[in-house]
Amino acid sequence: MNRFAACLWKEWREQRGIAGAIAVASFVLVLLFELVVPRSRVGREDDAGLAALLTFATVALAFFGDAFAGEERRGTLDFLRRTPGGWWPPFAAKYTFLLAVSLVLTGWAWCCGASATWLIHGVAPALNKKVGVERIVEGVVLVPLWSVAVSIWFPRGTLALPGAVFVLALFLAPVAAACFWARGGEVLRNSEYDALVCALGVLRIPDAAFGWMLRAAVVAAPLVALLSFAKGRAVERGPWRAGAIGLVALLVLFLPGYAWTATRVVDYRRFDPAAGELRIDGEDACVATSGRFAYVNARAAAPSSTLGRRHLHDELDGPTHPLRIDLASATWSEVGGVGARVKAAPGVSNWATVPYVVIEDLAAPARRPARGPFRARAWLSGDIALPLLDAETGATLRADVDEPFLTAGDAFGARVQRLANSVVLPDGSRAWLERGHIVRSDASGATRVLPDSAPVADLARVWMSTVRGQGMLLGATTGYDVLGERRFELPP
Amino acid sequence: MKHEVDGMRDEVAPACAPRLVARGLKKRFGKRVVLAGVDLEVAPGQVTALLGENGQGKTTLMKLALGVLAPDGGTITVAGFDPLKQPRPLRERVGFVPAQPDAYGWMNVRDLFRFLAPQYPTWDRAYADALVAQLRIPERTPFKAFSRGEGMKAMLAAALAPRPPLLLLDEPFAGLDPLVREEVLRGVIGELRGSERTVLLATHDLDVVARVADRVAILAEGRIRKHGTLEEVLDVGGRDGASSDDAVDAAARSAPAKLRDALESARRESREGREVGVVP
Repeated sequence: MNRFAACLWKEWREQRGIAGAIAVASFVLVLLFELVVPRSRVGREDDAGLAALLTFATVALAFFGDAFAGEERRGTLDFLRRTPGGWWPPFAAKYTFLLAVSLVLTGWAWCCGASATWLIHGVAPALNKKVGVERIVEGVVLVPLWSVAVSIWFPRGTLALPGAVFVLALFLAPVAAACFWARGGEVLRNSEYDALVCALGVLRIPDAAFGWMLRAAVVAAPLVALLSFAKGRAVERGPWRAGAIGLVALLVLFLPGYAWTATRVVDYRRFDPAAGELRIDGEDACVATSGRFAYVNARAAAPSSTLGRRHLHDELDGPTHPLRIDLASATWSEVGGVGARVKAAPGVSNWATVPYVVIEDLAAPARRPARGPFRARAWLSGDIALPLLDAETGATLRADVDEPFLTAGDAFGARVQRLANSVVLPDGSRAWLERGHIVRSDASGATRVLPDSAPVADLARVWMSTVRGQGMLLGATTGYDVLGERRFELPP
Repeated sequence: MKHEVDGMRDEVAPACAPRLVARGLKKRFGKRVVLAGVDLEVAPGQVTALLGENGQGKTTLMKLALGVLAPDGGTITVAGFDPLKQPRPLRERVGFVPAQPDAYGWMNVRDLFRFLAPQYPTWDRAYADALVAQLRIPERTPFKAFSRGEGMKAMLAAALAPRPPLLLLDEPFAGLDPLVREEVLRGVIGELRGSERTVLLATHDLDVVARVADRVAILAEGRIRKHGTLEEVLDVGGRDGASSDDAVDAAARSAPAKLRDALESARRESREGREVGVVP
């Protein structure tokens, strides 16, 4: 027997009782489960995989966290340190034992489950199901492996599992923060899980690459453990030194990931109109009244192999970039931040051309509570301030179209008509319907009520009007020529 | 220089060179300075008693010698090896008995030997079996069921079984009841008799020092305050009252006097024919 074999024998001799108990317990529990649960239960073909999964979790809890911390707790670490073999044989033996006991007991549980379902119910186990394969690799293997590494940093094994989760979360937090920041308010539209997947979309991780990253994390865990143990615990320096070494090693491991994340985030937020996968969101596109300027939301489509794309589809596309395009010169400019959307002012009825546009940015800070009428407030934009832009010039007219622009006496959003359904005249002045009158403003901003625009029909109660050319439809048979400032009857 | 030790051919110190050499060895734990510059040479083939009160750094010095602790300053070599850089050949040549048996509780002495035997190229199975018989160590009783004395005897047997040229004993007699202490002591003395083994024995038991030590080093306030043969230390102790070295603490000043009493007691016992028994 060599030194490694001696250490491996020591591990087996020390842990065989627990391993045997788990083996017996898994057999008995599987048998009881299959005997007690009604025969009509569906999904019995997955029982073997489930038994294997639960057994592995039990093995992880029983052995992994206490693998190294147990030596400290039992006061045998000095005994190990003094052996001439040094730190390598005990370290290798512990990992070998953990691997072996995991494989053997998990395999045993699967066999128990498969045999029980086959013999009792005549149901063959599902070999092609993903139960206990991908999920095991993702979480059930990763966390226990890291808990072994983290257990070297702590004096007690009970801290290993929560410690591993905490440490991994701590180191992944910058990546998650960068992703959420990059996605801006878009992820807020989703549930927690979707928001997470959505945020991960920033990284544009191909499915295959994600698998490799998980495998790298599985390999990295023993490496960090090796460094922590060899440099931190082989000589008596206290567990915190091992923790410090382990954390530094983790940081070094994560640094390339952080750098890669940074480049992905920058790429994600950068707008390239020449990109091959550029996509225009058609639903909010609009054209200024003059017909010269178009407002669209563009975004880069994510590759189809991106992680989670099959689940969230378009949600994983790049962030929207609100653009103002000069159709005459074919130039463009961004009129809002990354992730914001440009759209016609609320309440617009003429979708062909618009005099004003607003910028909707869900990531913008919530505005103070509106004091206006509830209907107007909710109808406009919820709790988000909507900057109002002149569609012709692109200039910002108001930082918040809603409050306090709408007044308490402005029932039914009459002022909104001024924004959404105004007529833009050749001299740049505008006319709109307000409280049943047609109001016109000049270039200086002064307003006057146009003649013969006294309430027509029920217009005092109507808050929508229809702009047509240089005039307005004031009813089914009445129009108003804003340029000529006269009312006329439409031919039948 | 090539030197063959128990069948191992390695780069080691010459036979006449000190087995353990510490120069300005320092160690602190947090703000507490335990060793403040220890200078010590342990001559080959002799039993050197490291005498000091509790908390003076005897165990720390042992751990530094084994490479289990890293020094904060100074150097230490054991059997010609650096404990941190060459721990493996060093530990193969050093037997160590800790102050507390720290083997796994589930192990019995056979399990302990089974685990340790592959670690030492010079492990002598027959000798180990003989030690178990001679020290009357229960073979099938696990450590967790051992009395402290049985545990110490098992650890002593495990330390001796590879026949190491250097033996480090860290207060192996502390806390033992008198009968067991006598039994363990006999085992140590019997092992040492006629052998060329070098021993560094950390203890605060003056009676033990008087019975087994060739040389005595007194460790106090993180330094070796006195070092020499028993007689030299006793002489120094005799002059100690006139010493102007105020840094020597009370323990160091009083130790030689106690040592003299213990030595006289041991010699008296010897003259009265009550010489201690030995393990053949």
